[in-house]
Amino acid sequence: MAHAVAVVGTGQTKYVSRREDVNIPEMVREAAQRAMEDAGVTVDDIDAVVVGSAPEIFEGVNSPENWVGIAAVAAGKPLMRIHTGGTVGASTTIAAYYHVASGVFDVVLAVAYEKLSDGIAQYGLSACYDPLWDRDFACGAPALVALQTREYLARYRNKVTEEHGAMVAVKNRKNAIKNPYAQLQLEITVEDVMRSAPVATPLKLLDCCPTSDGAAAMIIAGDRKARKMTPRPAWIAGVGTCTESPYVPNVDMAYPESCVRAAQQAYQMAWIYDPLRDLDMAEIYEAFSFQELIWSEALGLCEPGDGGRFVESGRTAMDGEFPINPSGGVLSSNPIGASAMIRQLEAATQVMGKAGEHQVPGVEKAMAHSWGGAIQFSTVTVFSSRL
Amino acid sequence: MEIKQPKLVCLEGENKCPYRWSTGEMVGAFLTALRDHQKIMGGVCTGCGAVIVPPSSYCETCSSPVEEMREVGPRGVVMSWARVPEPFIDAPLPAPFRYVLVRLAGSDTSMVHVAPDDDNVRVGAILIPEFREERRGSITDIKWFVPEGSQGDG
Amino acid sequence: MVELARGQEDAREPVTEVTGAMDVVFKHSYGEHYDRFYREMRDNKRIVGIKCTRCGGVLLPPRPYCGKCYAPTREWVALSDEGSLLTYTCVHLPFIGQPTDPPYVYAFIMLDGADVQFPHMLGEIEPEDIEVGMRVKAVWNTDRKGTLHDIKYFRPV
Repeated sequence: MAHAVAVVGTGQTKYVSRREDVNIPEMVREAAQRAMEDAGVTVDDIDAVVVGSAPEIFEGVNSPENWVGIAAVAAGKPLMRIHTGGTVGASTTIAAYYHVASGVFDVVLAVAYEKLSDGIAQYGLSACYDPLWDRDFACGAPALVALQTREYLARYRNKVTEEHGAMVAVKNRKNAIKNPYAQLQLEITVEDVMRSAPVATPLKLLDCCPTSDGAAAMIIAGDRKARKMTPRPAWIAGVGTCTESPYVPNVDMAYPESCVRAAQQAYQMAWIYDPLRDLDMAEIYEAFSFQELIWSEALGLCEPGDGGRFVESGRTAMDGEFPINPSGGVLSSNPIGASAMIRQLEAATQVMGKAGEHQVPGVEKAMAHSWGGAIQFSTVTVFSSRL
Repeated sequence: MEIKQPKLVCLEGENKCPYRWSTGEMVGAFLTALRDHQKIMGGVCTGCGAVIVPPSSYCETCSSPVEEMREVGPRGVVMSWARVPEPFIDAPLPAPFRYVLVRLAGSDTSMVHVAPDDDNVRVGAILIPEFREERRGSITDIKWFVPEGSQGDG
Repeated sequence: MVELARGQEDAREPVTEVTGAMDVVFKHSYGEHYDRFYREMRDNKRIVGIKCTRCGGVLLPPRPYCGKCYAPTREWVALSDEGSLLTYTCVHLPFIGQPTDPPYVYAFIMLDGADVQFPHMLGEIEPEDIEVGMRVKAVWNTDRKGTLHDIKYFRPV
């Protein structure tokens, strides 16, 4: 039986398009230090460190764990690096969870980061495509997600429109205004989104996430220590991860199996029967606006094809019955290697009641989701105020 | 076992991605001092008092913040060295040359740099930096470290 | 290799960044399956898939095992160079090092006889006239080298 595990402290940096005042390890240290301060622990209390980061080509430093590991207080301690595409930040937390749930470690620091401005984001993303197959047509993440979006819109052409994507873009940028760490804090309209320049049709500029510099960190602790460290830890109640190949028959980008399965695993573990009823809010990895609709369906928050109606109804707004991305989501800040951890960090912070101005009242259970690779990796994590 | 050689063996590709790495304040000040004053600066740890070269904003030993900066060197002692006999792509100097680990006077850490292929470059030898005429705010603003007393030979 | 640092040129400004590049040349091995696939394209203007011995799916790109069943593949299957458009996007975003200059239409096509999408580009059609589900056919290049560019693009039938 796994040991009970909780998030006891979190730290993040202000997400911006370029941090000039710090180098990569210093930025990682900033998030790690804040997480330790939030949890009220010192370097000596940390038993092990898990570092997550995106492909080396983004920042041009190979084996980055060599230098950021030390910055993340790993000197003299066990260190592990995690990498799973866009889900890496979440996988990092999940690896730290495994460290503690196994009973081997009591307190683990998980930290994930990205300094996208040091390199060329779309160049790095395009290098994730198979050079023997489709790399020459690649345009980083936008082209792939544009194909996913077109497939989705074509399937539900009578139910979902481009305006529904725009509604997500408007909602999340507005939510970001109350999140002091968010990069894009914008008051925009559906018309602004519809009129913005095409990036990869049907994706327009305001449907797309920015590229960001930033880091996020969490202190993960076992049952006994967690209760001593904070009166209200965010218990990790359910964890699900799943992988699928993009090159097999019947791949469905508009309803990805890896997401459906990751959700099933996490819900089963956390005793969630009806996610919309049993959870209070979600942080969903929507690097592009339409993805919030697609993931809402795959996560079982609404029926397939109802994603458009779901956002239009206002139920996922900040004052709705089931707020999605109160932090502003990936559409407002995207340091890629950290983005999936930020979803978890925000969900955990909501459960701990420490989200500040963008706190949703009375959150007892919250979900964090992420996707990565060629829409092939998915993670779902459920946090709960009660064990 | 017979290995069949396919006719299309491989596809050649190239990654050529440009980068601009933020230095952060401490490394930025270190490089600025090299360029503008031909001085080597270290950072002083607020916890253990160690002088770290090149400086970072935190101490890698005791984890405390590093705030104050202090000039170190220019003399340094060779802690270790390695001879590079053959040229390689993007090598910092034409071969042969030596890599050296130098501990500068007043520093508690050692720094990697390069030196001429001179038998006087050995463990325990005292070296001094030779700065370039054209300096750009880079660690290569120090051309190399040479044995004390041999300046101008290189 | 990382180029050893090159700082800012203006001596009055403090140094805030160091620039460089990671220039690496790669040789990506084709392996037996890509080799057969690309030789068929280059020499015979033919697109071939391979069948999973368990689920029977005709896979692209061809490979020795199925990515879902992990059963071996055996039988090569000649596919049509015609198919239906699954999804597409008109790429407008330029970036440094982009392999194909925008704007271009990137598409997934389900070739007749295949069970996995084929990635390529569309041509001879205005982006606003493209419809998911429409029939398209490969336009072959005369100078073929054994890459996906042996097909120029797919055009509407």
